[in-house]
Amino acid sequence: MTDLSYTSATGETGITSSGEVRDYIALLKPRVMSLVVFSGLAGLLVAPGDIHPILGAVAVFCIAVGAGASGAINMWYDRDIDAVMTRTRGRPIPMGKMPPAEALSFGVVLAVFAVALMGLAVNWAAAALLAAATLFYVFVYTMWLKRRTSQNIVIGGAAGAFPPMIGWTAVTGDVTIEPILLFALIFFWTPPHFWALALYRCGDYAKAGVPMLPVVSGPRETKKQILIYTVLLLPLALAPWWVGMAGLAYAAAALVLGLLFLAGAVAVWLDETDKAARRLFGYSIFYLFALFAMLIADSNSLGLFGALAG
Amino acid sequence: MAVMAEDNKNEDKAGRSDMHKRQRSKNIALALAIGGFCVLVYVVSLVRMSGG
Repeated sequence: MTDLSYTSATGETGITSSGEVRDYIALLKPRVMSLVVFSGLAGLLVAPGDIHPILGAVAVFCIAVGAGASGAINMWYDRDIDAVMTRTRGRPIPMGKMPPAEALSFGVVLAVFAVALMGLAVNWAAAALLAAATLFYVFVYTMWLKRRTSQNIVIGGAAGAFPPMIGWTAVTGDVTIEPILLFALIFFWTPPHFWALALYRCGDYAKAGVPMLPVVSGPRETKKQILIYTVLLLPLALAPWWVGMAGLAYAAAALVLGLLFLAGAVAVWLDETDKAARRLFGYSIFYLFALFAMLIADSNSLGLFGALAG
Repeated sequence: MAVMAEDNKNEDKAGRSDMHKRQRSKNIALALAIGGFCVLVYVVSLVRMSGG
């Protein structure tokens, strides 16, 4: 075995050996993956109809692997800006722990594997959605929008909104209004979530030349946009109850969680420091986990609350 | 000179053994992944054939 030498996108030459197992795991962005897996699982559990538990587990596994593969390809493409940003410079490629090409091939192999397995084991409609999500994240968000427009995470957020739709389609084999609502929920949740982060990482993004909204339009405009999206999210979170997917317990939880989210957004609007933005970022993660947990617990296809009450 | 050569040899050995250790853990992980994949394909085939 010999060490490998490579020149990164930023022009620096590094001597590095092939990465360790934990570096490959880091390429999969495990923390992001947990939210993706949970929302995918929620889509699968609330969908009407039956799926064999093993095939359900395979579907969730494919969603996780597909998301991880997208993360690895993203780290390959963004290695130049990752090396500049404080938040990302500890990633395996900027740290010189593995050659970029290795991350790319790892990501591509995993993406193909996830889509093929989903198609062969579950159904091809879910596989097509998984492929669409991966391609959208890599080509539309990472390669096209991220470095060009301040609306990068608004449009790019669609990639992260796919998992519940994929989970639903794994069970039903088609796309109806309900999974589209779940898609919309994450789509409208993404901007306030990422802009809260961007508010207190603004300098980092500016240094890397990523045109996030706070960098391009300033904190005031960003806070206004956070507020707008949070207001839009509030009624949207109630929609699953409105269309009959979930019961009143879910509606009550969605209302309370949404009002707290709105209170956080107002606090960000009023706060001159970045304290409220940090709090909102943390809360936004809790919000999505809690909302989907309630959706699972009170969905009309599972009816856990109904069963407990009855 | 002889001492320096000996030092270099030891360093080389330590570096190589570290690399071998890393390579070994990667090989084990890959073997587990391939084994897991075979089991997965087998189980999925059984489920699909039983009409699941």
